[in-house]
Amino acid sequence: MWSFIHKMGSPPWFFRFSGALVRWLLPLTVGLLLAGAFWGLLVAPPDFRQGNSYRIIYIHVPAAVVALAGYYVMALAGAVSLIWRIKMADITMRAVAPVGAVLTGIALLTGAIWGKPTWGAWWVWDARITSMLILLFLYLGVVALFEAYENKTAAARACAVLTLVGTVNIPIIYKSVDWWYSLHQPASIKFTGESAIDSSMLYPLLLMILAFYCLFAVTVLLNMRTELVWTHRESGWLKQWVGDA
Amino acid sequence: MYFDSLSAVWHMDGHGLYVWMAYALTTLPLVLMVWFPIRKMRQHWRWLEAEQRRRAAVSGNQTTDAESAI
Repeated sequence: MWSFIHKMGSPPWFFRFSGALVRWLLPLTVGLLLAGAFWGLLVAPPDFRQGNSYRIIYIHVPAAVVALAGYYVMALAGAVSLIWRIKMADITMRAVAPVGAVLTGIALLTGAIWGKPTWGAWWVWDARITSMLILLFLYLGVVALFEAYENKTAAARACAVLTLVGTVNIPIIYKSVDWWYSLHQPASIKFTGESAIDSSMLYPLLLMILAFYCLFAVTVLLNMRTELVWTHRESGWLKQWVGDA
Repeated sequence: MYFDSLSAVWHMDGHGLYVWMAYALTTLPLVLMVWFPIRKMRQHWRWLEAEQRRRAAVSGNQTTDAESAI
């Protein structure tokens, strides 16, 4: 395990490994997304109270779940970057931020569209929704901060600090539906105990969550590879690679 | 399959607009999110190949210069 982590910190090794990974993970992701969307949109039964509008759940929940999980990845990379000054951690942080921003944006947007027929409003200043909006600003903040610095090491340090301070928001998002009286429903899927959702609706949802995780991994890897190629354009191993290709 | 006709799929008992709008507005950014790094990678790669050719040409010229000097 440690030797694997150690290898991941080596750009040439990572470049080869991620290239092979992306090659089969990308088609798999597309397949999972299409299968999950087909299942959720056309096969699953409608909700007895919300009718068909609930089908938005199959993109809303996966986007939100992975947007939150992505923040852990970014925060971990931020901590590693601050403590050990590993360049790959900076690249990871930078690669995750735009993906997280897009996923959070999708969660908010689909939530607004779902809210209209269900609550009668596109937007409410609800605790869950507001804390997700803050998450979006944190992701966008990291993207902007990276661009703002000429010195990439200083940029990474500033982004790591912002990311780690922003971690406070994560438990608030999770607990917002329990702590405050909220329009947003509490979690339907639970690791412990019975889920409040029938298996005919749950399975396509789990498939879509898996698909979004894969999509997250693919996009982050693609972003990292792109960044890596540019920052290492003067390195011998990359020149060798280009020469062989 | 829950729906029995294409128009039922489209209308979704009055919720079609919301559902299809949500899916369309999700698909577009997701596709772009994957496409952008791939496109940028191709640009970088072309740059690297051009750079390698340029350097090979320069070093090639240098040897001919050296040869002609002798």
